[in-house]
Amino acid sequence: MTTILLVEDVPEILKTQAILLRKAGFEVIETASATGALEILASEHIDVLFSDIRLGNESGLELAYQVHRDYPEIAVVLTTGYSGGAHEIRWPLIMKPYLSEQAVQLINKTLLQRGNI
Amino acid sequence: MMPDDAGTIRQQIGEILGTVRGLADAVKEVKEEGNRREDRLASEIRTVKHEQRQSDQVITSRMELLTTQFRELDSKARLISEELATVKHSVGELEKLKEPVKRLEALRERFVGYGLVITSVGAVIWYFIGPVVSDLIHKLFSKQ
Repeated sequence: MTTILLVEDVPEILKTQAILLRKAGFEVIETASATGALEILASEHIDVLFSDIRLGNESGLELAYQVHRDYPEIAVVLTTGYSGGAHEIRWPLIMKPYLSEQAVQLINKTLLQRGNI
Repeated sequence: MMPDDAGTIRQQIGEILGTVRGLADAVKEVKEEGNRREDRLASEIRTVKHEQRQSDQVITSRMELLTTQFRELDSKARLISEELATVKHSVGELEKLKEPVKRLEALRERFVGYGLVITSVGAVIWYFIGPVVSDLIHKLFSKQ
């Protein structure tokens, strides 16, 4: 089963998206911060990092760069509700508000392109 | 033109130039302030839009989850309805069997009544002829 590390600082989005992604057949580990994500990455097997770009005082983009550097086997998918600078992002991006079905499609597409599935 | 006049004109030109420079600086400042305000406003608009999108995402996720949960409950309700229909059908079948079972029970009780009478009569008969029959059998076997 594909394991997603879901990083989102809005608790309600985090909880509901985790439930919806689990219903879609993924194993989901949730965290509200980039620091929490790095701790999880150090101890758990993760296939996909699905992170918000704005994480309060932290940056999901920096987290993505760190994951790309330290865990190149992990696929990265980002999300944001912030329109500025979205074109500069090198990873697959889904704009908020999105349906979980759209997120699932993008995650699966990314995994397929990387040859993970 | 008198030298004094030329000096006055130069002075006036200098003053005008100073005023023009001052005005140019003021215009520049106003423009810069305008740009700063525009940037601040654009940033605020982006923040408001971001917050709006976050709220939209919360609502979208909630709606999606509620729809999923509703579908699951609907599916369970359908299963329960089907089970209920089966149970109702079984209860109907059992209701139909009620009357034949009652008749069978009445019949059984009648048989039990006959059986008791027959056993009682047999016991009375055995009371009278039992010793004679027993004696007869004993005699028959002892002769052999």
